[in-house]
This record gives sequence, structure tokens and C-alpha cells, in this order.
Amino acid sequence: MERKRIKITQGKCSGCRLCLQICAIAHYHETNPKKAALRIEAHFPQPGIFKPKVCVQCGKCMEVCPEGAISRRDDGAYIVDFEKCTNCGTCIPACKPGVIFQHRDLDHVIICDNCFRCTDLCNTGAITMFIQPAKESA
Amino acid sequence: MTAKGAKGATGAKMAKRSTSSGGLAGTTLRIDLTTGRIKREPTDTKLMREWFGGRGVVAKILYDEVPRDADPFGPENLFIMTAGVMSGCFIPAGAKIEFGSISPMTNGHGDSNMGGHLGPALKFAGYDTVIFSGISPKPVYLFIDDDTVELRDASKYWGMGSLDCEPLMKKDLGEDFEIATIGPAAENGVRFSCITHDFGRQAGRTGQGAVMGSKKLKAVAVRGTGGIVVHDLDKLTEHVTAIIKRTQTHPNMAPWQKYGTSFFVGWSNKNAVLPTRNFQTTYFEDAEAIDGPELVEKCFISHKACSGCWMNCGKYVKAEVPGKEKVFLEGPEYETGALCGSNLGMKDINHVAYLNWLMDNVGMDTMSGGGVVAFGMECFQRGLIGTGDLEGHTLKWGSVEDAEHFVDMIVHRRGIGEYFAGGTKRAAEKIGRGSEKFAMQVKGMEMSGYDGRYAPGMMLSYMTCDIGAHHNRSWTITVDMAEGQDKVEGRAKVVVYLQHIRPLFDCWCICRLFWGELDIEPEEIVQTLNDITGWNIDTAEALKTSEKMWNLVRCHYLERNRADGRTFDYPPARAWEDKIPSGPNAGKGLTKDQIETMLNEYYACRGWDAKGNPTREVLHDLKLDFAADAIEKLGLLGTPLPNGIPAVRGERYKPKAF
Repeated sequence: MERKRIKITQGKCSGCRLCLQICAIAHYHETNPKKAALRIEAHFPQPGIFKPKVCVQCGKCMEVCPEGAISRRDDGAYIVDFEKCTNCGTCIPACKPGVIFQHRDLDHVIICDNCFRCTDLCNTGAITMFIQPAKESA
Repeated sequence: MTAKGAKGATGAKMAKRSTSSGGLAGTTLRIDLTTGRIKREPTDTKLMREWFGGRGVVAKILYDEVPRDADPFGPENLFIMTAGVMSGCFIPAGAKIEFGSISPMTNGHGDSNMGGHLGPALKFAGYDTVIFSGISPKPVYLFIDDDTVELRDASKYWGMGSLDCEPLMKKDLGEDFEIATIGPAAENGVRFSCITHDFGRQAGRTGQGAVMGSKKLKAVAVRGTGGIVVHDLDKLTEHVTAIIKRTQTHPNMAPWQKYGTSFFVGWSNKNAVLPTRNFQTTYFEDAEAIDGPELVEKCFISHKACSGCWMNCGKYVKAEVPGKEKVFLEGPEYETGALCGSNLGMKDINHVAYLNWLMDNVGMDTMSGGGVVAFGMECFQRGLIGTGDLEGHTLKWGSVEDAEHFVDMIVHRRGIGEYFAGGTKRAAEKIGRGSEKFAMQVKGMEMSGYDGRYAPGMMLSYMTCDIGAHHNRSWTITVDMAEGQDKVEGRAKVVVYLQHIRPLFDCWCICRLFWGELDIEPEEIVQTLNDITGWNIDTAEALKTSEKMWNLVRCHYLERNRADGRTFDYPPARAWEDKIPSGPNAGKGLTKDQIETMLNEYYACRGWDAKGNPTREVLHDLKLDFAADAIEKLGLLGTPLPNGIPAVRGERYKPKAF
């Protein structure tokens, strides 16, 4: 099966973080970048670059979840069942890119669900959607 | 409004109810630095609605609360920091934060803003406005982490350069804190000191950093995790997404993204308005060496954006000057390229970038800083100051070494550095001997990076700008080119219109570059505002409110400085005594009569009398009767105009760029 992923092109992000805003709006109907499922790391004053951090669909979160609250959808996304999630945070240190979050307003973790609203609005080409052919899909 | 559940997921749990509404975060902080008392109060929504937030609210609070005889550096002056209603919402370039206080440069209302991420962070933490009063007994910084608001000891950071202090504070507090700092210039009372944030964004004009320094407020550090609730998020998202999609392919987007404003150096030079060697001429023979393409080729590291703006006009660069440490900075953008480049005779982009870094780190405005150093260089050229005044150094055009030493004298107020720490106007008063003629300022603030001698609307814009000679309120170079650079008649009504349009960006805390350069209509901006606020205003109301601010600030200036307005509105005599000596516009210039004609037209267009004083009729029309009463008591109320005031002040005009 084809799977959709977010591709990062290093050196293209300029740190506007519009992606974070649209992510939170799409999922929580609120302008609040802290509720987004991705981050932009700023490395200043040196070397002076931005690094987007996004879900790479490694599946570690699902592996470590003690509640069985995370499952994989056909398109590749790892989806949190908010009813099962106890917000224990076990998945957070397991996430290599560091894009699982908790927020004081929510009693479940925040994980990217492949909506691609972020890539749709990224105008610099720093994050784009790419479709991984079935044979390469993990 | 409460947060809705996740779409397409298995159902999110409800978020907590927020106090945010209509784009406002909901809370205002009042901080007495003398006592350390911090008071929270609900944001005055009526005040925000009437004055549009940002610059408008700053203008009204300063007018209402700062005594007319208060020293800008004294405890009675306020220092205000406010994020606009659109800041941090889902809009492009909704990134600005506005600062305001009585300016130590002009002794009138002063305000300045900057992009980056601090404005949105303040609102995410739950605050629209912070109003500081008093003077702290020791250096402090304001710490905001959502509900935690504290004044903390800043003795560790006091004395540090702005660019050095920010990474240390992030290391101490956390990378996700947004930091704004002042440098030693502000700590030492240099009047044109700025506020720096995000490794190179500045609120540079009117000396807001200097006021922070006088209050012993070294920095502000903010982290916010809350959300902003807007009036109609679905409509806003749809409307803004359409603007985003449309502007992605606008022909202006690519050059702005690649060069930021730096490529305007070449443009200004080609059109012969580039200030060169302290505005002696308008064409710089070495402009190509300091233009945008040269910056990108020799110094570029990365593009750097403000919140929500992929136009990313910020260029993060390195500057390498032999014998000096390699430095990193954001810039030089156009104004710095002009005022620390051609205006100082700098022929190497690395030298311009180095001076940019130097001024950013000591915390002085590169615009006024460039103007002040240029004035010093012309004084040296003319023998009004010499090596004996400069600790054995020279101060020659194009010398980065000389400029660096002179800046150090100013920052530490050594010798004649003390004169120049007050800006060109005050320095000229000390140096005398005709130097006032080429102190390139109005009302005590240095001119921006455009020579107005063959761009009459630009000269009028400087003369009448409410905060001193700044281009931000009205920029007319393309208007002058379209309507005739030899002609002054008819220019005033366009200047007035632009003076009503452009300050609105500073009220709503959105960036003019994105919203003004991509053929976005004023009506679209107003719709965005309405989607956020629910104010339901139209363009006519927006313009009239902006005019109200303009007149309030004018009255405030008159009340503090107590003379007819016209007396403050003249540029230095170079504007009419010296014709442009070289370049494509050689021999061109303005006459004193033309200056007077423009002022006469401007005042008539505003409904002010020939002395430059607002009339009761126009103030009444703007619901500013209280200001009319105040200036009347001082004998500064305008004489009624024989034919009454114009029904509408200013004439709508769509410039090629503004």
C-alpha cells in the first residue's frame, strides 16, 4: 500500500511556523502552536538555521504505548485513540524526532495524523508531502 | 468559545475555556518598577475597539496617563508593550509587537514595533498589553511563563550586548522563551537605543530601548502555551488561506524572499534617492558593492521569517572583516544598508554587515545610529571635529575602524561621544558652526534612508511625520516618480492619505511588507480584522480612526513642546540650500518656497491652520474635543479655516509601492 509522509528539505525552512498554526487550527480549532504535532527548531546564533521536526512514522510510539491506544492507519499515520490514551507520556521519550506533545488543556498526547495541512501551506518547500510506493513502505 | 474536537480523529477531549476572545488575549499587566508591584486587569475591550490596539492604544494611554512635564527618562514616563489584535492569529506576518513611551529623542509620543515571535508569544501567554511605570532600584527583567509573572534580578545580564544576552537567557530559561533585550547603549542613556529580539529584529525608532534602560529593565522573556480565540475562525481560515495561495505566485514574492529589502539599495541608487555621505548626494558610486545580490553572495547563511510570514525578508548572515572576529547577525536590510552603507561611504558589504552587528549588539538603532555616525563624519570632513576630539582617531568616510571607535565613544559617552549620544540635533547644538544645516533629522529623530530633495512627497513625509523623520508613516518615492519629481503641488493630499493607511499596520501589528506589497486591497485587510475581532468596521472607519490617532499625537506633541506646530515641521536647511551635487539627479533640489507650499497644502488638507495647529472643527469631527480644549488653553488651537475643513482629509491613491 502507498503511504504518505512528510518530507523535510533541510535549509529551506525560514521559521515562520505557519505550519504549527494551521495544525492546531485543523485539530483543535484554535490558534495555538503548542497544540501542533510538529515543531521548528531554531539554531541561533550559530549555525543560524531552522530544522523542522515532523513525524517520520517510525512506529515507536505504538510499540511502547502501555494502553494500546495507538494504531496505524492504512495511509501510514499513527492515530491516538483519545478514549484509551491516559496521557501517561511513555511514548514521548520513545519518539526520535521529538514530536509527541502534551498540553495542559488536553488529557491525551498530540501525534501527527497525516492531514498534510502543514505541507499544503508551506511556501518555502521545507516540508512537502510525498507518497512512498508500496514496496518501500515500512 | 471552546475548542472543538479533532477532525478526522477518534474524538478529542474538550479544551479548557479560555478568557481570550475576538483576537484579544484578555489580560493587561500593569507593573510598577519602583515598587515591584504587578497588577493584572482585564484588557479594556472598549479602548481596544475605539483605538484599534497597538499604536492607537499606546497613543491614547500615553496621552491620558503621562504628565505633560514628565521627563522621558523619569519615573512618570510609561513604557508600554502591546501586541495587536491580529498578532499571533492565523494570518501572514501577524507578528508585530508595539512599544511606546514619551520619546527621549523628540519629547513627544514615541512608538516603534518589531516582528519576530514575541508579540504572538505574549498573547499565547494570555496578555495583550504590559504597562511599565516607575524606575526599578536595580536591573531587572520581566519573566512571563503563562500565569507566572515576575520581575527577576538582571544583574547577571546588565552590561551585556543584546545579541550576546539573548542566547544566554535562552540557555538559562529555555529555548522556547521569546526574549527582547536592550544593550549597553540603552543602559547608558544613548537616546536612540533600540530593543532587540530574535537575534536581529529591532524596535529601533524613537528611543524605546533608551526608555527601557532608564527604567533598569534589561529584558523581557515570555513563554505562552495558551490559544487565541478569534471571532470567526472558519471564515478567517478560509479567507486567509485564499490570500496565502494567491500571493504565493505574486511576482513581488520571489525577490523579497531572496533578498529581503536589501536589494532596494540598488533600486534607490538607480533612482538617485540613496543617501550618500550624510545626505550630501543621492548617488553612491559603489552601491553595487553593498547591494542585495552582494549580501546574498558573500554573507548569506539562511532566510529568516517572522511569525506566520514565509516572505522571510530577514537574511541571516555572517560578516567577516580582516582582523576582527567573525560575527553573525540578521541584516543588513535596506535602511541599514543605506544608512550604515552609502551614508557612511562604506564600499564593502562585509563592513556594512559588521557595523550592523556592532550597533545591534550595543543596542542602538542602525537608522539613527547610521545618521549620527554620518553626521560625525561630515563634521570631521569639514574640520568641525578633529583627531583631538576623537581620542587620536580619525572619522573618515568608508572606514569601519573609525566608525567602530566612534560608536564606542557614543555608547560609553566618552568625550564628544556624550554630545552624539543625544542624536544629531543635540550634537549639532553643541558643535554649532553651521552644523545644524546638515544634522539630518526632524523633531530630533534622524531621517530614514531616502533623500527627499528630488522626491518632494518624501521630504514632506519626513517633515510631518508624527514621531520625527521616519518613512514608516508615509513613503512616497514611487508617488513622486509617477506624479512628477519637479512638482510639489498636490502631493500633500497623498501624504495625508498614506499617513492614515500605514499606521493602521502598526495598530493591528501586522507587517506592511506582506500586506502592502502583494496587491492585497485595504478591504481584504479590514475583512481579516473583522473575522478576528468581530468589530465589523469598514475601510472608511479605519481611515477615520487612523486620522484620529494622528491628530491626538499632534495635540500631545504641541501640549508637551508648546509652540506652533509649524515651527517643528522643518527639515534641516540642506533640504533647500544644497542642490544634489552628483549622479542622475545632479542639480535637482527643492526651494524654500516649495517647502512652504507643501506645508501650506498639507495643513489645509488636514483641516489645520497655517501655523500647523489643529482646528477645533477637525478635532470635533474626530471626537477629540478634550484635546481641542487642552491646546486651546495653551493658545495653540488652530484658527478656524475660512472655508471650513475638508469633508474627507487625504485622497485615496494606489501607489506602485508604499
